[in-house]
Amino acid sequence: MGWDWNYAIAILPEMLGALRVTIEITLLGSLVALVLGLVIAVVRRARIPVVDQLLWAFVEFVRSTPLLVQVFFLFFVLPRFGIVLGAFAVGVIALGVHYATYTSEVYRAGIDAVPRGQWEAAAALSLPQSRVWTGVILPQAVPRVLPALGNYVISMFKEVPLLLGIGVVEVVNKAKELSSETFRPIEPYTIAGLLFLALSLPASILVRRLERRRAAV
Amino acid sequence: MEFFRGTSEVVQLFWIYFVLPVLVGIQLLPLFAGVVVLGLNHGAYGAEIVRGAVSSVPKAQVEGAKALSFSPRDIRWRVVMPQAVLEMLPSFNNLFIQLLKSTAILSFIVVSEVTERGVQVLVPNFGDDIVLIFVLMLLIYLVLAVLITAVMRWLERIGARRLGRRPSASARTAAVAAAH
Repeated sequence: MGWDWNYAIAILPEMLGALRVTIEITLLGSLVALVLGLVIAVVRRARIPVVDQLLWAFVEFVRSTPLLVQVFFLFFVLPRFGIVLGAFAVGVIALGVHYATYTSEVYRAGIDAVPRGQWEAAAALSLPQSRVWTGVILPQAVPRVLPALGNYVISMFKEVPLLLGIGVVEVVNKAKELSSETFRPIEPYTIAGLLFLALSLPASILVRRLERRRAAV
Repeated sequence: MEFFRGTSEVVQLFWIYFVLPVLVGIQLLPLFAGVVVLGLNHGAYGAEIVRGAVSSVPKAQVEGAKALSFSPRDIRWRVVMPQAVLEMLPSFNNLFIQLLKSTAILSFIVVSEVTERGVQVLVPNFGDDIVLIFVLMLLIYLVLAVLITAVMRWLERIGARRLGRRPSASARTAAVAAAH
């Protein structure tokens, strides 16, 4: 059994439709990860007793356990507590929260890299705390870490297929469906791989270019 | 390398497990397919870590060793490597934890690992204890991750002592930020 072009072209529209789902989950998940990560980083910076330790424990726990198990947990265990989420929502939340623990570390590194003088100057001008963050610290910290954040978005894109475990019809699940309908695994899985490459390669080149530009500044 | 870094592990796993047999007529055992995919995948990242660590050793170290007429082999194994290995350990710690977490995807090709046993065997049979089952699964991974970190920290201390240095806290935090 070799490569069949007719079959490959016939399934392409369906595969692209599934790719759309993958991209939607990636973008929404990234939004959660980027916002929640920033919140975690800023709150941890305040070093509030108890809250800080709890956040530390949460971040370490999420980072040390598999995303797939967390996905299953949200999908199968939460309904026991009366919280019923659809597979798509579970995917977005699980990916977003998992990667928020990574992005929070990235933001932290970026915030730590802002010179102390900036904090002192902001304090000397008696800026309110909110403006210290939004007007002084974050505009300097965030651009510095954009390449690292970009890499995590690419990682998230590649982790979306885990959601086939709870029945989200993303690229790999679609390939699985098609190959079990037609008993031809070659084309669907190969197309799935190529679709991932087609998006993640240009994205990582973009991130690398951004990295170099940052390094040059 | 770009292929492994550019596609999803699940795609690679399914490709090697479902497509390869049709193409070349070799059906891999699920566990073997899993070891190959995870090994190659994380190996690609590991190679990057080693390259970075070796190039982070100051050039003066090599020049100094040359001036003392060390052989090229001794320069590599007795001067550069001991310093590079210490540099690699924090990144490898992260890599091993990533690898540990990735083993869960082998449940998709029915390797009887923790996640597969939990979700396919325990949950259908003991559905009432689903909370307990998941807490235990998560704890198993957490304990393994803590063990990996403990061993790597211990190796770091040994490595630093053999170089006559103190293990640096900054190197560790830098590695955490640079992971992935």
